[in-house]
Amino acid sequence: MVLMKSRGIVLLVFFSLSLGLLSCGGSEPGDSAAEAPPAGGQDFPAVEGWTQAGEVLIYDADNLWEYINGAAELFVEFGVQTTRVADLASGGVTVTVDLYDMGTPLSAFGVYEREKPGDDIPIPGAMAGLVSAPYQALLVKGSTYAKVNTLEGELTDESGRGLLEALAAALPGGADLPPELELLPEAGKVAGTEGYKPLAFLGQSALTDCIYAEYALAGEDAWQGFVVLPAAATSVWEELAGAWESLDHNGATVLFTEVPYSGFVGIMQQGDRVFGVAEASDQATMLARLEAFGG
Amino acid sequence: MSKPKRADREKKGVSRRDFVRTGGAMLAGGAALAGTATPGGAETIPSRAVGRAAPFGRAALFGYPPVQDAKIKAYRTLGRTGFEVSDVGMGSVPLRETAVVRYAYDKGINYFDTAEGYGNGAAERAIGEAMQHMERDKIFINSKARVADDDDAEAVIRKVRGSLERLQTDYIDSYCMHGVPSIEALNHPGFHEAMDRLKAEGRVRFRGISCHGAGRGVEQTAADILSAGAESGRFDMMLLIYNFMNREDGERVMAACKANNVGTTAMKTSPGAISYTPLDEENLTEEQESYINRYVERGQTREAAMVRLREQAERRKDLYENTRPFAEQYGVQTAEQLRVGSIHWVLQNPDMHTACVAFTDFELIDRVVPVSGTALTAPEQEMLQEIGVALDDQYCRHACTECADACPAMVPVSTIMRYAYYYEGQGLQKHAMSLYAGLEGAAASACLDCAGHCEGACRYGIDIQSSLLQAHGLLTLA
Repeated sequence: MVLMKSRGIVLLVFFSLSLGLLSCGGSEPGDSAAEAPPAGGQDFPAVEGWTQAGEVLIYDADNLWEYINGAAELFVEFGVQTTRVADLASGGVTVTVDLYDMGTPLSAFGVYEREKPGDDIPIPGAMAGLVSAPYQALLVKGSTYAKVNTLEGELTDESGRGLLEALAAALPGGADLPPELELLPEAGKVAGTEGYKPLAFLGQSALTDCIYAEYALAGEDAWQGFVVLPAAATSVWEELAGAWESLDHNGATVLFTEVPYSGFVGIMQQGDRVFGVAEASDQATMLARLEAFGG
Repeated sequence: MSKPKRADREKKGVSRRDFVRTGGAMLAGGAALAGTATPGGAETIPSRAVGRAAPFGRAALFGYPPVQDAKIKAYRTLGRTGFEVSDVGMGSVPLRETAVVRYAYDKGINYFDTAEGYGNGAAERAIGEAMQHMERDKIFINSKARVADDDDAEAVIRKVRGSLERLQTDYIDSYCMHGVPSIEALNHPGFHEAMDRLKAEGRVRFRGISCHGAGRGVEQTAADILSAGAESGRFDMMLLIYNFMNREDGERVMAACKANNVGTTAMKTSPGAISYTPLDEENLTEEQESYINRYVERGQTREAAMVRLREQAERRKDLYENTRPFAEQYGVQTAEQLRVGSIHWVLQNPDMHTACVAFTDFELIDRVVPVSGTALTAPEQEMLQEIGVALDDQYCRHACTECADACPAMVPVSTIMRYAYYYEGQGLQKHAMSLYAGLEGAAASACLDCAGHCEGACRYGIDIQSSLLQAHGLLTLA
């Protein structure tokens, strides 16, 4: 809508925050009345053994909902840049392949970890992957998260793995885990539990840009340890300093809060590093874990 | 994350003339105010109990702080299901924490909307993990899945069984055909056969539909499809878009639902944007340059990438432009205010039974739950109505081209008024004038010696010729 200038009215409102989609609740998948995005031409990698059928559809963060609707919000939260969609056919099986360019390997890894329904299988040339025969296969490599859904026919574990291997060979980027995960201490870390949440870690709106993993020290139940990414560490600390309680522990400031149903969460700052622990039943346990984790 | 801020506008006793002359956040108008201040007419619900000071302090309208001990105050009957659902429901994407589900439940939220596709099943799993902490018969779960044309009943039943497993429940209260693409698809035989069987087994209690828009090539609207669904008698509830930007279609569907006792649930209750950066192709931002580079790295031309970037900018601009009237009415200045304010607006309509909100953290629950069961205060409604009356005939609706046929010179009215807004509202004088100059023969200079064929062409009563001439003067410094 546009405001007329009549009667001397002058519009003066300037909004300062960045554009964001603030949609709530559920929404719809699949076809939309909206105009289809233009075909992407050759903008889809050739996958050995599979033939591309039909056009390539391309979506940005702000129109991804036209393709997957409500589910798009998760991808937007993780920073999706573009999504390319194409159907591939081979031997009586047709699949739809979604290539989500997540911007960084960490975001691709994070959304993959969020969406994966089972355990990883080794896929040469990829960070991780899995096959949920007969309907789905997932892969993450570099900044790309690939989701394969069967359209006609069925995938087997073998054919699904073959497709993922071919996809891995066709996609750019590295097969190593995101280097940011190395910020997590190794001692006591439960392998394969690493993850990344860009927003509202532990349901705390101010706790952003966290990488985390499960830890199990001798004689203890497992608990979560996390590190705030360096680029966000200062702002997160400052925000929480005004919202959480604080205490002095061995000359260092500990910020902490009690999360509903989850126990105590505490964070410490060491130089430009902010790290924390969760799921502590009391403050003493929280402090002990902080010391063990990074203090 | 920024904390809630209070604006410094707390003017009391403002006259109608003052509304018009004060400008800025005092400006209003638009479709949402064409006659009434709030959606759906009057409802006998109490005025908001949340502590606020100034009745005319519009930043205070949605700027109140989170309240941790607030509880849901209103429950509405979800159509023929007979279930009393909280007026604020919980959407579940991008749901992360099971504890957030528990927290919502403990606040009195008892409606949970999810789908197999949200997080590839992760949203259903998160709700399922919370199930042991909730009384099953005290909550209403709606799940859904897309049903392909050739899906038979067995295929649909497989989807439902997957949802039941992830949700860790013996039954789903309602199950929706997700994203129905046409009126014809409402009769999907596989879906209905599956629902008949699952209802007989006690696995699904009610059936429903959701729709965002018609499928490609289908000459129907979402409102057509959903209204037909309500009138078909086959569906017990539905999920529809309803917000300040989609008022008329939403209320059309709700009327059909009310006449047929069908439950209504809202999605996309706050789809707004509160800022927009115009695309300057000669001076791209870092983000825009990165966008271009990603295409180029994949082998596309820079020109092709720029076309997409332009399209993206247009979409964002439209979103922003559509949000602006609401933000102006309510003095909204932050994304958080916009979100809560939009939800509160939806809650004013008693024919919308529950508004699904994507709760991702505890604080958002503490912000939204306090508006449950609360009405805009009388002074606020009075103020909004006043503004609506004052400005409704001065407001050129974006993308409205109803007057186009009236102009023999085919002057693009809406476009020119948008450029005027760039000049005035965004301070982009040079940019606006440049755009206007690009119209060349289509500019409003044609209005200078025109007899005024457009008189009466605007159904909102805008004096088109006069407005265009003012815009022309502004954009040419004539």
